[in-house]
Amino acid sequence: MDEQRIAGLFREAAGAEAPPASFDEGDVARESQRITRRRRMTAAGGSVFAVALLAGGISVVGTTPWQNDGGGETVAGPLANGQADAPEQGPAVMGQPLEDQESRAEAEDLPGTMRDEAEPEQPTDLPVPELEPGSPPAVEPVPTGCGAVDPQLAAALAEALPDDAEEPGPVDAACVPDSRGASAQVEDDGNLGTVSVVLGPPDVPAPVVETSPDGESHSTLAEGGGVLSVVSEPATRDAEPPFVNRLAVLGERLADQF
Amino acid sequence: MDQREEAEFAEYFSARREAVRRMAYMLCGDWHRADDLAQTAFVALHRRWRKIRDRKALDAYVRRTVVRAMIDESRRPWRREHAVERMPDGPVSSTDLDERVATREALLLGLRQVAPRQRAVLVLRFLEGMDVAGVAAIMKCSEGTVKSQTARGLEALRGVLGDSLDDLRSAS
Repeated sequence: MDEQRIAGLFREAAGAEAPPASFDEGDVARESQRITRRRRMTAAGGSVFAVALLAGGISVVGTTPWQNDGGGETVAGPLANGQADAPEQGPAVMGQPLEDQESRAEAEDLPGTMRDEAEPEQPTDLPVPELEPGSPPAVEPVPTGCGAVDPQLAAALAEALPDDAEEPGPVDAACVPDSRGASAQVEDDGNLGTVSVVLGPPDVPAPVVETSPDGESHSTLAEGGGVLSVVSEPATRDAEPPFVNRLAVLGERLADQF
Repeated sequence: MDQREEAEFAEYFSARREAVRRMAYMLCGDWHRADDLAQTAFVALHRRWRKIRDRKALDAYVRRTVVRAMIDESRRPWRREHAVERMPDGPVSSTDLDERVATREALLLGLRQVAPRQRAVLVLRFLEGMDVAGVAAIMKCSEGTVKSQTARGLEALRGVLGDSLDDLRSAS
């Protein structure tokens, strides 16, 4: 049996009875422009907030994943003034428009396409362990899996979040057994909700914590071998989860620490 | 993008849309989801079009975006894919056409039982016609991993399809 025969089967299966496409080039262009406009508005809103903070005489030095959107613009967060002092390992690229940084990990690992040699490395979406076919998940999230708040994760989360975020507490979600977690209520440009970080035990595949249909999450492999997930859940259904565009940055940063 | 860039994108889109849709369909087995995956990839491409310097890498970018979107989606708990104890009954074939339809549907059903990354490797190799090195670049893994994923993916297909696809019997 040769591979050409298999390829023929695949092509035949893929080519048969395809319905008309539900989108055209205009739809793509409009969606692309909508995303760009939305992200520019988010960045602009953050700029206004940052200016207000500066006018109030607030000056805090440091960096968090919630700042540093580049392009001369800042995002909401009490540390915005510290942007100029961002360390080299900071999660965002200075001088890049906000929309160019979104999904950077996806774009950068492609050969010969979008990478700018002058740019520092950005976090990428690291592969996480996969389940084998035909088998149920090795470990199912359980309601009490995260247990009490984990002091180390809580401290790391508190350091990463804006200062106006509440003190982290336990994760109110189903986690895999023996996982650790911390969660904090936050507000991001009017979007209320919680941001949680959950670290699963080593060698347990993703997902280690359940995410609601309205929430967003980012999972990556932590240094210790466990899957680390950062989850943002909105306070109300159908609302925008807070800091949804920063989850990958936060996840990669925390993954380096655990 | 300026008019020239929009025209370039439109030309690429027109040339590649159906192929990307078919690839997405083989990855997820549903035309609605396939269109979502394909549109996601084209939107991502549109947003980065003017930054792309190597136009030869466009196909690789789109393929990778579609594959990643499919894998990410399959990880979400509310869309997590579960294996079933028993395959749904396929159509009863009595003619060559029926047999071809049955074979096609058996392949699609079988692919749904294969792990997402293995399924992606199979689709990239046998539908997109990519070699092992090309698939490894798309999947960001070693060529050895591609080979093992291919073998395991085909084995998984055999496991769920039984004798309905004899062509897979000695192909890995």
